[in-house]
Amino acid sequence: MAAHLYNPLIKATRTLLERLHVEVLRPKTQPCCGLVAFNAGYFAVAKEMAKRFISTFWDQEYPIVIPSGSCAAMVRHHYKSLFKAEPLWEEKVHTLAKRTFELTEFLSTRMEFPLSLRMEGRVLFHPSCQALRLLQIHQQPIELLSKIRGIEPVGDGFRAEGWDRCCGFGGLFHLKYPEISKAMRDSKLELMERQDPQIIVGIDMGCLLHLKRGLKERASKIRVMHMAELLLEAGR
Amino acid sequence: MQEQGFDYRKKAKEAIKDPQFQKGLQSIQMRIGKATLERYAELRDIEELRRKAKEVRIHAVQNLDQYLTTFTQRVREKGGEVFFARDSESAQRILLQVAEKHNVKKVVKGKSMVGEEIGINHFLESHGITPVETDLGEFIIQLAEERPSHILGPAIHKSKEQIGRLFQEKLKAPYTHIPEELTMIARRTLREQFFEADMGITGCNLAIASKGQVMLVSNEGNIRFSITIPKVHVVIMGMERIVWSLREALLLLRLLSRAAAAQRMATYVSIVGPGEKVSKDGAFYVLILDNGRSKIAKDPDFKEILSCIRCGACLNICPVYGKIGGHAYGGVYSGPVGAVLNPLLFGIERYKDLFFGETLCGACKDICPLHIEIPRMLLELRRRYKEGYDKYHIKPKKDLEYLAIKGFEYYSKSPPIYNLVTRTINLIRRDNT
Repeated sequence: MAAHLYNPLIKATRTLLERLHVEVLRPKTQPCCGLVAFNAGYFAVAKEMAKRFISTFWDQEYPIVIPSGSCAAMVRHHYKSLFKAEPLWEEKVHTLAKRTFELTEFLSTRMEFPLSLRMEGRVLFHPSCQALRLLQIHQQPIELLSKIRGIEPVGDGFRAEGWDRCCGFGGLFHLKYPEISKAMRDSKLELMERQDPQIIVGIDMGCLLHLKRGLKERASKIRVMHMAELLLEAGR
Repeated sequence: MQEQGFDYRKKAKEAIKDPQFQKGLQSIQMRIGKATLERYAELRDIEELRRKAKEVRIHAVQNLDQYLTTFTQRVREKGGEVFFARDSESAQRILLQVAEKHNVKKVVKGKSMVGEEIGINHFLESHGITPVETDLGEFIIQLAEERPSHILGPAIHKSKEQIGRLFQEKLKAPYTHIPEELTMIARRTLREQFFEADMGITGCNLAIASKGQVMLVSNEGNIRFSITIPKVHVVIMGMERIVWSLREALLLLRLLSRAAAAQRMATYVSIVGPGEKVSKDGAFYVLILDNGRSKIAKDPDFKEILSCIRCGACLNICPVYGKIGGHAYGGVYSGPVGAVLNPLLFGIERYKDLFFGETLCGACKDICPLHIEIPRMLLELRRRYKEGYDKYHIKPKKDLEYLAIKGFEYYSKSPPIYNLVTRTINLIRRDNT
């Protein structure tokens, strides 16, 4: 999804990883994980897409790093249910799941952090539901943020009241039910604005673009950034 | 009981625009949703308890025949009677027969979702029997001739001022908006009704198969009145609401109290069965409703939803419910559990907006005392609706969305086209955001 919605993120992730001395390989064809088809109920189409994803990555040994909580959750969590009746694919899915990481997960569990990070600003973190609940990513992003000197955590350790509530994005949900999606988003933003942050940082571009649109409607000056972008800026 | 011509989007929008409704929703979610999680955390072995409780409930769902047979035997041994109803209409017929047998003119009712499914109030009224709701929230809803907007707090969409005016108009009470005074008005009105009623109808939190008894939980004491004063007690239960032993029922009660109202223990718990009435002509009936449940019990993807104990915790945390309220779900059940149950019980095609109109954030599964996998089931409903499902007579949908997704799948096979399209999307995006 990162590639479809917001190309600069791919570049930022790549640059960030290279600065951390990680060799980054990108396959010639960048297959989509199939979450959008899965989410829409077209499991057979999702399966086709998943198979292409699996075939591209599964016979290598490198970790797969995904700068999106929901895509990573698709690969690690939903693939298992998608292929539960097909032993051959199921095995591949299990191998692949062990090597797949969401970006902040990869950064905090797999390596020391050699960059010195510095950035000014009052920052709030927005966790994404899929990362939070399906991948159990709670502390990693917070720990990464805590490494940045000069940064000011607002709320309760970068978290506003109701921090774990869905922002209303929900993939196709925000297109199909815009009124509900907007109402959810605005409640979320109200709680965030109470903390008077300058930056909202997150790990899923879907949620972030959704929040960004909301902030624009409210003529807010709060910046919305993906963690990869923020770390890159702080590492300069 | 289904609502005619229901429109999810329209009802959702109405609720979003109603400031009073929004206030009620926010209040219940901020107070109870949060506190429930705190109550869970007080128990050291909470996850173990939840796991056990789930096991108990799933075992019951998988062995319903055995549980229900034993339950029926025990009730009959002690002089009670058990009826099985295939659907709402046959439940109505049975209820009427029982009421006629005992010459019933007035019924006091405890809150019951199965009662809503059967459509008891409307049906009894049409046969000259007066039903009186005794749960305070349901009492208000009945006076206002509305529908419950929450499984446990049916009147959360109304303000105390609205209730004050309602009591003034319908009960000829002096206007007040002070909650304590409003409660006293309701209490005085209800007290008379209890003494006049010939029959008490209650739902069933859990039936206990090996004892032939049912466990009833309330916070207002209305259940105790309903089952002790009138001569006749009729329990209406969904066929899945059963456990084997008292011990199992008590395990679930611990979780239910915390999940439903963030209490360590509910205020009133009654465990009742036949042969416990003081008066000689007292009678005890259980009316067990199928209404599509036996079909769900046989469905490996959905039988899990039958382990639900209707605590309503998922409503108190769901961010979608928190905005649109219970009326948008257009059926008996609302919130995340309703988004699974209404389509399964009343029609997947008809209720499709309920399972597409959720974000799958997973908060419901987290707070559910049994960790029921509601998001998984919502996805499975989407699959059946889109790809078709013979057993439910659902045809595959080759709609615009299908073409778009199929096209997307196709273009992603070819690198040059893929890159072109992603670049275009990104260009459009940047203009819009």
